[in-house]
Amino acid sequence: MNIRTSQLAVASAVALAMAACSTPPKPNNDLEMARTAVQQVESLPDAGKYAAAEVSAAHEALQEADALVSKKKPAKDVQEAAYVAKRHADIAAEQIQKGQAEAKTAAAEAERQKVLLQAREQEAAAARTQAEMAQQQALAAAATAERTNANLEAQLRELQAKKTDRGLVLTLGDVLFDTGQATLKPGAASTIDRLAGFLSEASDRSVIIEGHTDSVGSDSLNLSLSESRASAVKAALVAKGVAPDRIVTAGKGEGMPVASNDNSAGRQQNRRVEIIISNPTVAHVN
Amino acid sequence: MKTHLSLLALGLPVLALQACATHQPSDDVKAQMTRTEVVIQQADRSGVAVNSLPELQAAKDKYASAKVEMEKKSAEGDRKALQLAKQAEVDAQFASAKAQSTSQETAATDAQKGVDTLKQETDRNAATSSAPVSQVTAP
Repeated sequence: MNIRTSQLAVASAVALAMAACSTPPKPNNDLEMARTAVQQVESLPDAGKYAAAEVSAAHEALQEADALVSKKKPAKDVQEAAYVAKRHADIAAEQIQKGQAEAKTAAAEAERQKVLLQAREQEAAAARTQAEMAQQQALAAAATAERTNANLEAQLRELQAKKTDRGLVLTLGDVLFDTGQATLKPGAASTIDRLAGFLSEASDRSVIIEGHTDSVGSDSLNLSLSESRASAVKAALVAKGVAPDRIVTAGKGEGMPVASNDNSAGRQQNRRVEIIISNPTVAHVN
Repeated sequence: MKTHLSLLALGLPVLALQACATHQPSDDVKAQMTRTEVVIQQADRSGVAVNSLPELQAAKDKYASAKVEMEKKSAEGDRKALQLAKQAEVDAQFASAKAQSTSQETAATDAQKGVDTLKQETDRNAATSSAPVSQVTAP
C-alpha cells in the first residue's frame, strides 16, 4: 500500500507540475453534450416553474465535471460526471413534461366543470321554456274553449233550444213541412244550417231526432209520417256534413203531444220535429 | 490512517497529491449509497411504468456494482463506488420522473377526451331537447 501510494504521489506531483504550464484542457465531448442538454432544458418555457431545483443540480454536476477537466482528470472520470449532469437535465425535462401535463389535466377538469354547469343551465332554461310554453298552451286552450263554449251557447240561443232533462231540445214546427208531407220546406234551410254548424263545432255531441204528429189521422199513418219527417231532417243534416252515426231518428206518432189536440193551435204545436241534443261527453273548460 | 500519516511525512509533493486526491472518505460513499438505495426503493414503490424499466434496471445494476466496489475497502474502490452510486441515483430519479410524466400525460389525455365526449353529448342534448345531465357526468 505504502509503496503504491508513494508511486502515485510522485506521478501526481509530476502531473501537477506539468499542468501548471500546459495548454488549456481540451474539451470533453460527453461534457459538452451534457452542457448543451442542460442549456436546452433550461431554455424551456416552464423550466423555472417545474424544474428549478433539478436545473441547478444539473449545473452543479456540470461544475463538478468542469473541475475534473481543469484538474486534468482522466477523460473517463469526466465522462462519468458528465453522465450525471446529463441525467439531471433528463430528469428536469421529465419534470417539466409532468408539470405541463398536470396543468393540462387541471385545465381539462375546469373545462369539464364549465361544460357541466352550462349543460345544467341549458337544461334549466329548456325546462323553463317548456313550462312557459305549456302554460301558454293551457291558457290558449282555455281561451279557445271559452270562446267555443260562448259561441256554442250563442248558437244554441239562436236555435232557441230549450234545456230539458233529456238534454237541449230544439223544436222544428210543422210550418217547415207541407201538410202530410215529409219534405223539408226551403224555410227550414237556415235552421238546418245553424244546427249543422253547431254540430260540427260541438263534435262531442250527438242528436236524437224525433217526429211527432197531432191526433188527426190513423195512428199508423201518423207514426210513419213522423218517422219520415225525422229521417228528412237527418238527411238534411247529413247533407251538410254531419256524420250519420251521430244522428238517431225515431217516429213517435201522435203519442207525445205537447198541447191539446182539441183546437187547431194546440194541434199545430203537436205537429213537430224535436231535435234532442245530448249533453257533451267531455265537460268543457269553464 | 497509517497511509495518510506517512504521506504527510513526504512533504510538498504530498500536498500536491492531497489537492487532486482520488481518495474519498468512506463516509461520503456510505451516505451516497444510502441515498441511492432510498431513491431506487422509491422508484420501485411508485410503480414505474414499463417504458422506464431499462433506466431503473440500470440504476439497480450500478448500485450492485457500487456495493461490490465498496466491499473492496480501498480508495479506488470507494471512488468507483461513489461514481456508480451517484449515477445509479440519477438513473433511478430519471426512471421515477419519466414514469410520473408518462402517467400524467395519460391522465391529461384522458381528461381531455372526457371533456370532448361531454361536450359532444351536451351539444347533442342541447340540439335535441333536454335529456338529464346526469347521463353524461361519468368521469
